[in-house]
Amino acid sequence: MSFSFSAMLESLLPVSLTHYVLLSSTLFVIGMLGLFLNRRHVIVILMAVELLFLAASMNFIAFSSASGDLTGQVFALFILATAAAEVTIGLAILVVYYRNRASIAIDDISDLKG
Amino acid sequence: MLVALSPFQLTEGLVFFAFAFVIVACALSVVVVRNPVHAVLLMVAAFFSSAALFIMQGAEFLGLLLIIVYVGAIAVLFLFVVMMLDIRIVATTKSRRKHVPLALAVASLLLAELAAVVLLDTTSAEQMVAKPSPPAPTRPLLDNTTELGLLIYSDYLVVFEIAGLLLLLAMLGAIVLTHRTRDDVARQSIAEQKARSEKARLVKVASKDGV
Repeated sequence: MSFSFSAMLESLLPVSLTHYVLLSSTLFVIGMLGLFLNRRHVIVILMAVELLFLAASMNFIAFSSASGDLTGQVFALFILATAAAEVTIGLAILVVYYRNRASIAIDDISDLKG
Repeated sequence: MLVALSPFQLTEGLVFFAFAFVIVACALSVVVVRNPVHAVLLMVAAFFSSAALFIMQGAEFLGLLLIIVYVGAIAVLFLFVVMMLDIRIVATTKSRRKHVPLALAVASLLLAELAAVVLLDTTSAEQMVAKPSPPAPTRPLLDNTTELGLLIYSDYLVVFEIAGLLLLLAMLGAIVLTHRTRDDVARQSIAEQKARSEKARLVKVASKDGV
């Protein structure tokens, strides 16, 4: 049995819904990892949240196109709007915080710690 | 087991794996790179590749929207903030690195669970979405954007308007949060000027005539 690139590719094909669901799962886990791991800047945490949103909408679109129902794409559109609103407010809060404290390192943000 | 694949399926597979690789690599880099500017640019690359995958699945409108909204607007917003704030690039210290094993363990557990649900379930994802009897379309299908518009402006009209309201609120919120009245700049106050003396009054000066 000869191992070749085309044989490997053929065993993984054709591209199905499972591929997209696995990809979005991976993306979601990477976003979660970003939330856990990142102890430096709030701004990178916001980016990790954006990745989570992307994973969610990728799932919506994959199922929408697999089932031939456009409703999933409508909801992906609403996810996009929500993500835009979230990032706007998040960055505004960040700017205000930086103006008051001159730092947005996560270790410095501990005012609410008792 | 091996079924003959059409050239289209082979190409589709190659394109999918290329874009999927770019997405995963860029997303991982977003999480681990030190420089926030690099993180923003890598996030843009990830979103761009996802837009390509959206278009591949027939969601052209959302794919292009993703490029316009994320690459055109949100990435610029992020870059503005990253460059406006003087963020030091800090190295990870040992105390921070002690979270890494736990985070990796939780993440791999989550990934294993998700993959197990998708791969090991006896009812495959395709079967889940397979409807018992798909209703026959009563009219010929139009292109993706038109169909989406027909759906948004009929069934989801209220939700769509609420989404618009949400965006308006976000805009107002951002302005209210970041706006400040500065005391160190000279600024005309007409009310104060007028109240200073009774003789002073505002005159509308005709053009080329003078006072």
